[in-house]
Amino acid sequence: MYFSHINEKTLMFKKIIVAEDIDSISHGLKALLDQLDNTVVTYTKYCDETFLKIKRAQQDNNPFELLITDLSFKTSHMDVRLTSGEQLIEQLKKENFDIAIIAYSIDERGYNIRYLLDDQEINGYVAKGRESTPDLLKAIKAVYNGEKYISPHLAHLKKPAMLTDIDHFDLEIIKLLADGLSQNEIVEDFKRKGKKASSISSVEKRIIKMKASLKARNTTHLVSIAKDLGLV
Amino acid sequence: MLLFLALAFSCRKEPTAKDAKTIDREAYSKISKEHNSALADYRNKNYEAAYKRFLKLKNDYLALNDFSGAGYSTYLMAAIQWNYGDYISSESTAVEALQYLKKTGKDDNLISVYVLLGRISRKVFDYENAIKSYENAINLSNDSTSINIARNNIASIYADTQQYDKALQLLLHIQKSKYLDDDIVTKARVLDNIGATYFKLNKPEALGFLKHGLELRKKVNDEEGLVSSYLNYYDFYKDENHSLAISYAIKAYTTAYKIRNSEKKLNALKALAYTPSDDRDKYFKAFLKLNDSLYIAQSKAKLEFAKIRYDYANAQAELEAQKVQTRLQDEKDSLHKLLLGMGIVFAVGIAILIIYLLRARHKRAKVLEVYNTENRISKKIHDELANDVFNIMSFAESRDISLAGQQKLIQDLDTIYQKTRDISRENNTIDTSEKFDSVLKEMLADYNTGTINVMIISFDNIPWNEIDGHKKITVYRVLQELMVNMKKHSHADLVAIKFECENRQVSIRYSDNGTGLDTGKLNYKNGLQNAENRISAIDGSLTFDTSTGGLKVNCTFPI
Repeated sequence: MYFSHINEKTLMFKKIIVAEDIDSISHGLKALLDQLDNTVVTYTKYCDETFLKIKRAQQDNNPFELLITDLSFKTSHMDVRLTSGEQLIEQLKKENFDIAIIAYSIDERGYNIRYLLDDQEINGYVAKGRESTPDLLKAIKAVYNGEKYISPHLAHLKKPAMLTDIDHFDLEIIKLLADGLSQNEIVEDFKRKGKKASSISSVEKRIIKMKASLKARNTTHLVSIAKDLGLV
Repeated sequence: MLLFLALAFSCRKEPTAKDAKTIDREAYSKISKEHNSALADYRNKNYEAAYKRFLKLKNDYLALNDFSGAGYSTYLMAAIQWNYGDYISSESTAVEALQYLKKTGKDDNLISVYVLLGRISRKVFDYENAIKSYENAINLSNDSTSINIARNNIASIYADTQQYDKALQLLLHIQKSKYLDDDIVTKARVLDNIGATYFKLNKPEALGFLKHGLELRKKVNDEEGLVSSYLNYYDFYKDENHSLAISYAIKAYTTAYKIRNSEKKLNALKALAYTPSDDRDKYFKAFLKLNDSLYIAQSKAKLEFAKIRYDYANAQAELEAQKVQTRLQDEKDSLHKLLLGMGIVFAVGIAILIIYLLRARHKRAKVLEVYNTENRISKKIHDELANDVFNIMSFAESRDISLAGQQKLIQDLDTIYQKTRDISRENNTIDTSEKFDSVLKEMLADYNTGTINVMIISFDNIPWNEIDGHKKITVYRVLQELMVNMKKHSHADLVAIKFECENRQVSIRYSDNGTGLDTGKLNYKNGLQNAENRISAIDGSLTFDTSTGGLKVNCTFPI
């Protein structure tokens, strides 16, 4: 089983609090975290409850060292102040609690992940999924060692996703190409009109980039595809 | 609404019984002030002003059902007319006063009115009625002085009608009255009259009584009485001693002049004009002149008082008309208020109806949207998950789960898990804050895989921050729908999305190089119908074009 390798006698968080409202997942986490010796784990189901427990422990001079929290919680019939993991995290950060935080969620929206990791400066983001149990354990260890952690298959989301962005210079170049102008003639035309990107190299770079984007084999092909897509 | 109307109309307050009392008290204090002013005018002989005030007072008293006050005011009006020699008017006014005072039962002023009526009748030579009036006064009075005055006047009437014996008899009877000493003026008048009557009867006692009367009048400085005394002296001497008679007549004239009593002046001048003397012509002319001017003055006075009455009646009528006008205006105002109220009720009613209809429409649209979304998700779960789960069930049923089988099982389950996550992602909340442009780019980038190239063109042309949240959601969902459709059905490997904004009209042109759309399948099947609904909900339009190969979708909407 996956748990076999974690019985190492390493230094570890002594007090962990878990916020997770789905029992089955909570049980999985329990099975995982029970493996950690000398660690007290508290389970909570509501963000408000979690926040109060963290606050109380802080006042009792026996604070939690790590919070593992889901982001999405079922709406309850109770009067709820904090309705999501994001709000819980924001509140904790706002009140400067000294607690490490790992978000554990099915949510794979890149901007949200970046918001939590970069803006709220949480310590780890683990995706729920097939690999999540060993993933979470790795995350706990990394965070304990002061590192930031993100699940490997979400690693590409640490930076905003790239789209091929075509601007009006690119469109102008394609238009001139479609009119039968050569690269040099395009450069001359740009220079005459006093346009910025008017060096041979910059026009050339743009054409190469567009050929790649539009999967064109040559310039003629590029113009034809661009026409088909209605770009010119 | 009803409450609002109730408030609007409660502004019109009817005076209550309590208010009426207060108003009465206020009115009385106002009237008594006016009454005092009128009396002051009367005493100062500002007769016209006094007459005006009493005329108004009379009506004010009548308005309050105070007949005593009204009678007294009317009496004084009659007295003023009497003073101006307007006997006819004075009489009718005095009769009016009588009517008011009779309503109050016994009123002291009734006596005064009867006395006045007696004097008027005597002036117009209606001796019979004059005596009746005086007798009425006497019957009402329990004040001996008034009775003596009235009797003296009756005696004068007897003298006027040459019934000297009768007159003398009455006057001597008055003289015996023990109360006569209380009123020296009356006593002097009675003595003077006795003297005059004795003279008419050629009795020697005449001069003694005349003398006694004159002395008393001088004593109490009764100037008006003195004129009468002097004129009686004149009568006494006019046949025997012209110069003495004239000297008394002149005394009478100067005294009358002093007290500005024109009538007595006229009597004195008449005496002078009748008596032979050097200045007889002069006196005669003066007499005629005064007589004329007196006549003119009386006529003028008659006109003047008639005018005052007319003006007052006019003013009253105008006031009445104004009251009617005010009442009409009030009624008009309340009608306006009512109409305004009804108008407001109507407008509010219409507004509520419109809001209700809009809400209902909005609700219907929302319900439809929710229904469509539920439908879509349900369909997705059926198409994409139920089949997979069924396959896994069959697999688990038919196979002995070995280690290899377990691996396969876990893998398949993971696939299902991924699919559920995809469904969740397709329907999760959308951040419409200023981060929206990166949220949208990120969604599009999800489809930018190794095989599919997604290009965005002039993305920054759109002023995202000026677009409403619900329109942002629409853009997101529509593009998402197009991307899902593209990934699933089109087999495209190039997608270009061109963003344009002109005249606050956003235009998003999607194009791919896929298989295009089977137009028969366009509706409902691909969820593109949903996209079309969403766009029309923000007053935009969605057009599909598959004529040049691939799919081109043009989506426009106003900011």
